[in-house]
Amino acid sequence: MTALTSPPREPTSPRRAAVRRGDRVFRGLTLAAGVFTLIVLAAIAIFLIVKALPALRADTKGFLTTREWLPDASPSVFGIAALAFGTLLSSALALVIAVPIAIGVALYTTDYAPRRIATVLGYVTDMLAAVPSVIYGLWGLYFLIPHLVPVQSFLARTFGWIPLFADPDNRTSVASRSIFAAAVVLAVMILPIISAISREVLAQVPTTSREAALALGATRWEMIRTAVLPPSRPGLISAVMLGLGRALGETIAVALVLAASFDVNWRVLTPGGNSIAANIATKFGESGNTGREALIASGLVLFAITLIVNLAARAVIYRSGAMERSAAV
Amino acid sequence: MKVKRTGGVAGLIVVGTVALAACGSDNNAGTTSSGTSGGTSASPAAQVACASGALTGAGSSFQAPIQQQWVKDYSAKCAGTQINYQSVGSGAGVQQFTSGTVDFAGSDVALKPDEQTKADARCAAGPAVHIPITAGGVALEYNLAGVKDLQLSPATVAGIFAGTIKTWDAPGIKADNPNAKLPATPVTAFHRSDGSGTTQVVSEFLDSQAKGAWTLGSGKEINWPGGQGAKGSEGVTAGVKQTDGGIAYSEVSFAKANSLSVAKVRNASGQYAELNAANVSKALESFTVTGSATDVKGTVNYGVSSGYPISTVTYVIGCGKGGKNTPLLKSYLTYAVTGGQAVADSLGFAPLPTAIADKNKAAITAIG
Repeated sequence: MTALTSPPREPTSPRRAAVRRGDRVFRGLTLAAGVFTLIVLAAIAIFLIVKALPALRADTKGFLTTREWLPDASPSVFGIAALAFGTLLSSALALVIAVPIAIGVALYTTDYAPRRIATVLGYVTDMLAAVPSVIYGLWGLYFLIPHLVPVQSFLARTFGWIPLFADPDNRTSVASRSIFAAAVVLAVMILPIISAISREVLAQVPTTSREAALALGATRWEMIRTAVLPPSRPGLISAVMLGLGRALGETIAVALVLAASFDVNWRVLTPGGNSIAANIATKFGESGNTGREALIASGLVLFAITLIVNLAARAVIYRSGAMERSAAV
Repeated sequence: MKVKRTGGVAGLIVVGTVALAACGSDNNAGTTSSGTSGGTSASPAAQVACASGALTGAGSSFQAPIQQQWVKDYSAKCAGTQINYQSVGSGAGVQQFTSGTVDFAGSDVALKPDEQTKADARCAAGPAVHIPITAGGVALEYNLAGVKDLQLSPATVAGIFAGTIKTWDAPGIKADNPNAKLPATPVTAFHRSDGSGTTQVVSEFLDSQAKGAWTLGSGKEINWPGGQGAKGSEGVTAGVKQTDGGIAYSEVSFAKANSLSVAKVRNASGQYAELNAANVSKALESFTVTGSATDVKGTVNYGVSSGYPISTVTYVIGCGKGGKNTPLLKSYLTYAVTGGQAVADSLGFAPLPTAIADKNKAAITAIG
């Protein structure tokens, strides 16, 4: 699932032509690891499809367009429209918040900070990644939401003319469990992943390139813009995509923070919104048979969304990689 | 090829060991906690006819606090027993019971016909039976500056949760509270975002007692037109605590733990009843058993003329015949419905009325 760029391959020059036993064993082990990953992925896909089919057959309204979730009622009504919308909107918003900060942190540690500060900063950001997501959820629920009231009402008052920030019923005057609040929590959660990988990617840029740019009279910012960022782009995109993957699939933190409504709500500051993973977490315990299958069907959709996002990221990396190569020639 | 297989086996062994280790530590933790702390809080009431062995139940999170207390007290009286109740939710509990992984289920609602069929099939030799194990009222907890003794009629509650009553000085609330000084604060109603037996109780109450004002039906999940959802009783309670003008339904223990006020609710005789154990027990005197002498399932009457109207029972579902660990199940359930009822009040539940308790005893005796 990860989309890291593979390091350039060394030209193969075996010291001895004869393949040793140890080589064969190791080759077998790595092959097994690779095959195992594929088998797991296929097994998950098959499980989801098989379990989801009965619910999809029992559904009386369009699964993709319905904005309700009452699978155990009769007639059974459920659909993923609102859930998929909320998942994508909250994740996209989280990226908007997290990516500039994460890449900023990474650039500061590789290109600006003194060595000692850079090391400490690296440790601290990595530690953010070690915090369990339920802790982020509790932090969001008990601390962030009440403290976000002034921010949300400020955004609503100042940028209310943008439909995204509109709040016609003045619902941001009290604690609002909004998509925005969820996106802030998600942003904090994906920040360490994006910044840690970005840091590694940026550090891969050869010092000689940096020195060459500086020697040509570039300022530090120009050096970063011309010599550091372009070759790092595929890696940075990979980092962002990994972060997006985590945001799309984040379950308990979102479940604790969001107000869980089933409407397609563009107003990110007002209470409401839901996500596929959060809905599975909240509904699973009390679901009947159809309910469980319906939740698995929604899981199938999330699986598909994640695959599509990863494939799209691959395509972007491939194309930008190809561009770099052609530019170099 | 050979190598690959060895790798796979090694992997399996690792996974297996980890899983076993996890189970082991879980069990150990369970025994230690019940062993050390059980002695102090064991209720002095009633002789217990001990049985031995292990017993596992799973289900309703509503009844989990009292189940855990019973497990602790029972283990303190009967050494060498190992009872475990997993708070996984009624639906999941019923499913685990049906698939045979637990000996009994805790459920806030009686089995639906199709679930009953499956549960009967699991028990093989006899039908699955319901035992109403404890009673409880659903609290309407609120946070409204300056208002302490809020009174609500079913129609007003319906308006609040359906989103038709938008401010605290709305005519409906004023009519219920003629003497209170109500502010114009907006109403923020919190409901459970997860499927919940509590939601089912409240919606059934509104469906039967607020006809006309409540059009959203009843069930563990409701298609809410407004308000804010939150996960679990702790989630809705946090919402109310953070919001002036907030109101939610939850177990009374959450309101107490967060020092939130609880509204009085009007019953069928027009009296505004406070939520306490006595009023819940009184309301459940009109519980009608629809099952049989061996199966104490029934319907809750929300139109009570005395007592707190949003009161309900929660069930344990076990095998009438052909279950596993039957002696311990019988012994444990007998303890729960007799001596165990003494702890109900302190945990936010209410002791079962005598009529139900007597039927329970007969039904438990018939299990075999």
